[in-house]
Amino acid sequence: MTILFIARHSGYLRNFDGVIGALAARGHQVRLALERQDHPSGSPELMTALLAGSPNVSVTTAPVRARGEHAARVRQLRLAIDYLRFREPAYRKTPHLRERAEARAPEAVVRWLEHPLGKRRVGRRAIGAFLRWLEQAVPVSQPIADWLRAEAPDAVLVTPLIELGSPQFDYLQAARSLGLRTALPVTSWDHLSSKALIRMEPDLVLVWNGVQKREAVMYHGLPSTRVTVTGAQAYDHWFTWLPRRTRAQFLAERGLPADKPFLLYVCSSLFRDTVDETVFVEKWIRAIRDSSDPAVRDAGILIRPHPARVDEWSGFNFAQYRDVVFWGSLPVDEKTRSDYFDSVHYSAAVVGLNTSAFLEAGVMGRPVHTVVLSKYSRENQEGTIHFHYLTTVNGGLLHVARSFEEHVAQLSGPLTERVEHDEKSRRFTEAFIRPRGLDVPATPLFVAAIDKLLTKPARPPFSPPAAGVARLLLPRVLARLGRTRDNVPAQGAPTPDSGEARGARKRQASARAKVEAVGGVSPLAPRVGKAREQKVLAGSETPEAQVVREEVLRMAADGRPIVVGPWLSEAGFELLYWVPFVKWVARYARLDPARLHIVSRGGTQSWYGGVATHYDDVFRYYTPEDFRAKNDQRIAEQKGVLKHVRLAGFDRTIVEQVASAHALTDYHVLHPSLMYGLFQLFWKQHQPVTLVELFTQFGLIRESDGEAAIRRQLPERYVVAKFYGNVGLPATAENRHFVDTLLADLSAGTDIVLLNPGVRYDDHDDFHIQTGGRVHRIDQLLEPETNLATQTAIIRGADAYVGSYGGFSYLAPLVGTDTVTFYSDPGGFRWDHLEVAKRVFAGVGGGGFSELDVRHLRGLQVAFSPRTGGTVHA
Amino acid sequence: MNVPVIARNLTRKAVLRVWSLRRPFLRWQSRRQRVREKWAAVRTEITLEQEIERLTDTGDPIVVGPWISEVGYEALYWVPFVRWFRSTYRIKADQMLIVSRGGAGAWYADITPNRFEAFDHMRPEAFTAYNASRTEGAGGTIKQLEMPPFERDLIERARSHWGVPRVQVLHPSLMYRLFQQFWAGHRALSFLDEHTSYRMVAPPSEVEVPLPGLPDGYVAVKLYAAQSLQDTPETRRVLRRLLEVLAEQHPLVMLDTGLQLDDHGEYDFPHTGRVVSAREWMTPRNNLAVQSRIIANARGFVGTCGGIAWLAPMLGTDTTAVMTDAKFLNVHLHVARRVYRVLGGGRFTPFDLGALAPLGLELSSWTRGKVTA
Repeated sequence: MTILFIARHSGYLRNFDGVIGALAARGHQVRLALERQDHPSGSPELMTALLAGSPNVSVTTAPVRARGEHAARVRQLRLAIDYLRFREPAYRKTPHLRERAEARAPEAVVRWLEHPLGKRRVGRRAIGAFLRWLEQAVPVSQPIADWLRAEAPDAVLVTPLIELGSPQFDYLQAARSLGLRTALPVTSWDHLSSKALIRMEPDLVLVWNGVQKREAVMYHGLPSTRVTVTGAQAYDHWFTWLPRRTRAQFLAERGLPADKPFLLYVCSSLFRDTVDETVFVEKWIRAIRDSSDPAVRDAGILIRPHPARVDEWSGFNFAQYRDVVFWGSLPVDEKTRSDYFDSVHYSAAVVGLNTSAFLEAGVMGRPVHTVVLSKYSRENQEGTIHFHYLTTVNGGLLHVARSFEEHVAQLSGPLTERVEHDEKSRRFTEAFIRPRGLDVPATPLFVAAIDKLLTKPARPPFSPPAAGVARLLLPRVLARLGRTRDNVPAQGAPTPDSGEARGARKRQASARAKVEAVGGVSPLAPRVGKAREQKVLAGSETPEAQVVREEVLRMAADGRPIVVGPWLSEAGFELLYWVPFVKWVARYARLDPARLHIVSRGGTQSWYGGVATHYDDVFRYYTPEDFRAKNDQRIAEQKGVLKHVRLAGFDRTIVEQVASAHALTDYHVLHPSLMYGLFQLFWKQHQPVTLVELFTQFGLIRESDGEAAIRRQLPERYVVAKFYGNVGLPATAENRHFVDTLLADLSAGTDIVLLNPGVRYDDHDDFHIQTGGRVHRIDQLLEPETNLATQTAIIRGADAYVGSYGGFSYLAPLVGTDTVTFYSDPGGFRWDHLEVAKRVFAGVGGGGFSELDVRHLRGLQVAFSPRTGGTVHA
Repeated sequence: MNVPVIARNLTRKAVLRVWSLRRPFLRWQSRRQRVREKWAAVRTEITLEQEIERLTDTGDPIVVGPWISEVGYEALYWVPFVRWFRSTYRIKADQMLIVSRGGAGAWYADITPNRFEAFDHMRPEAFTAYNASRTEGAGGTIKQLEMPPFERDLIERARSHWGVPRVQVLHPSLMYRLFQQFWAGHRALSFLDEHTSYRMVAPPSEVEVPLPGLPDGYVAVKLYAAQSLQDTPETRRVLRRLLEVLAEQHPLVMLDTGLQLDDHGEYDFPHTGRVVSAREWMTPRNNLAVQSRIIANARGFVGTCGGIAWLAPMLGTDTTAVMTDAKFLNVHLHVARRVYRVLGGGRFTPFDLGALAPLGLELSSWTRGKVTA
């Protein structure tokens, strides 16, 4: 028989290596199917060992839901279903589990459940049933179905299956639609209580013990007949394992005192962004070292990091503590398992917060201790369901202390006199790890259960009731579920349901009558110059749109000054989205220009078209070098995100400097993150371009004073060129050659003004272009505070603009100059910005804009040459 | 105490109070209007989707088409829509019959092998005349927004040819109506994603469309006038120059059909030694199949942005789509570029013929030009 064992990555097979070997030994063909063979948490050593262990074991890659099969939206639906699970009363005492699920859940579902009906049990259950019904109607992933057909397994095992919004349900669904036998071997002890809801009932669920069986039935609604208790096959090997070295050898290797007992601290995989375990460990070490009991105070300490959290310890100074050793790795093969076993076996006691290592220590007979402090317990210990099993099942495994003093006192016992076999550990193991008897291994029971499954006839292919209706509704519901609560708040702005937002809504209602709608035909309308047929455009009623309107009206209501910006990132986004957005804000809320203080860099005041009386340049406050350094720091703070997704520290500092310079004490900040929070719905394709249309006011950039004076320093007729290396036109040798020859040919017919400044203000590298003859540089004209204003003036006077395709090139059409841009990597930029840009340029009557693919033209062997007759100017 | 002043003030206050009462009503009215308009759009979509789903209820065979309008919409939207329909409702391949014309049935090969060629059952002149009268009657649009008797008759012939007693019809009007909101910009690209399934298209085989030997490394060219490539003297000059430049480097195979099957007039330039016309290999019945095959085997395709240029990258051929005005194409360009990239199809480059004039440049051949791209 062929058994297809699907796992997210090889790390999950760690708990099944014995089972896989046993199934292969029984003559089954075991196909290990990994979604990702190169996953960072995977274990190549384990795979090597499994494949070497039997010729009946082979490995393959499992396909995933294909692009175009709406994987992201289906995930939203699944996250919604999982979230509903955590709204059940059983999770009332585990708020973090609930909050975690809520943060990932689609906004729409969270709102449904905040409705009075949704708060009631019946409403919640109805929504859950409805979503599960819809999930069943999600089209089976074709690549997965095709793959399963080709593999033709007799049974499909899927693990771990239970992460929130797990895409692994696609395998279960496809297998069931094909009428294949399915099984879920539960990977770990907490998987049924703290993670996803199991739906699409598998034919068999293999659990460790009666507790898990009860969870499967109570929490997941699985029929008890489908749930088989085998014991924890993952730990069978520990029951017969023997130390590979003597205690003295072990202690010598680890540098621990040979004449003293040691404590093993096992780290946990705590919820991200809750508490820092290194801080806890530091306090714990101090408590040990400060003990009045010499047996405790002088004990060695071995700290075993959690394999997934080693990086947290990078800044921890172990040298400051005596006899404290940091050591350990994931036990996947003979050596690492030996290391792990010996470290537990030789320890006097094992200490930690909440980890599966407790169970292994219990199997090995060690006394297991923990400290329950409210700060750590609220989310990571008593704030989970599975932790309570450690304290209750068959008397509980843990020696629990509620303070460090109590804990230290408890440790005194095992440190003074070694406990060979802790009674609590034995009893817990008997109930939780080997419920069929301490001498009855789980692996044969697991294998027998699979054998039994293989003898049963497969269930007929599954089809949900009223599938047609469900399929009809599905796209609509998926569209509504498109956003998670995580990305809703427009950074710094009120959320739709905050008290602040409600207050703003009221103010908005009273102010609405005073505010006329922003009229005119947007250049984004599909037919240039013609208004759309519908008055109400998609996107106008989204929560994010509400937040923006409310925030803007809130600012408008009290007459305080408004600092707009600071804008520190790409010129393209500023031109295409930010400036039109600011113009919309000013017009929508009828803001007096005297109230607005635009903050940008490089002298872009003219871009904002008189919307504000005040303009402050960042280069007034910083040198270019300082600016670059601080801006880089801002980007680093945002984990590499260049865009203004939140009011970063540098932004805040600039705003304060501007406020101080203008003696503003009480003011608002219109930060770009408000716009990013809104328009991301368009960029992520959740809303059409109408959303941008609604919140922008486009127009050409008018000439400002002093532009003519700048142009007087240039040739009478010229073409402007600005080439820089970016993702669309990387600075490769071929592209450099192209640019050089293009400019050489251009200069045969006209003067060329290069806009490449000598100073680097942003993240782009300029091409190094030879000047001389008719190619001119303008370095002498460029000052940090006015460099963009100067470039704007120069571009306006040019016959044409030629350069790399990128955001900066949007400036030229907006000052009425025809533009030709080049790229060589069409995958290097996003087409939606280009589409918006071209619609805008055409709509506002700007210059022409063309983008040409250098590589493609090269492929056709097409070149350019000066037009015969020598007329350069169009 | 000035009674008249007090009375006047009180009256004014009362009037303002009463007048202000209309505000909630106005708000309510405007909200109702918004909801109605939104609901109308949603109801249309629901109705259309229900209509589409109902086709599958009876289990009857399904006639898909007849597609008799623009080639571009067929390649870029209709075929992926039919593919989506088939996979979403799990229709068996042999339950569908494609009705198209000019050999375009080959584009549906991965959906169903069943094809009904319209030109096997009607004269091309009748087809052209019908399309012209339909366009005139529909206010200038060639889009199939309803199913007139001519098309019903074609469907009936297809049913009879297929030999089945009853059929359901997946008519292009369903797609046109469904996607209207997307083309108008009221629906996000994800709406299209939800109703289409894009794949690379296999060209017709040698057996299906035998062709005489074509020169090695040729570039296929198809240039015709369109809204986005207006027929002006300057356009003709630049196009002629483009052909000269291309012909210096590659043999060219011109895909001019000589057939007047739609409203697009083909540019007719004199053919030199390295330029061959595929006209003689094309008949009304096979013209699209022949063009597909020639494009698929070409080293590149150069053509008017629109029509078969949307198909060329899905055949795996690098494509230069020329135009002089992109404003009619923006939404399709966005879809096309994204699709080709996801599919890993041929490189697609829109080329605005007016781009070089402001720079004082013009196209030149690889060997002669100094600026090699």
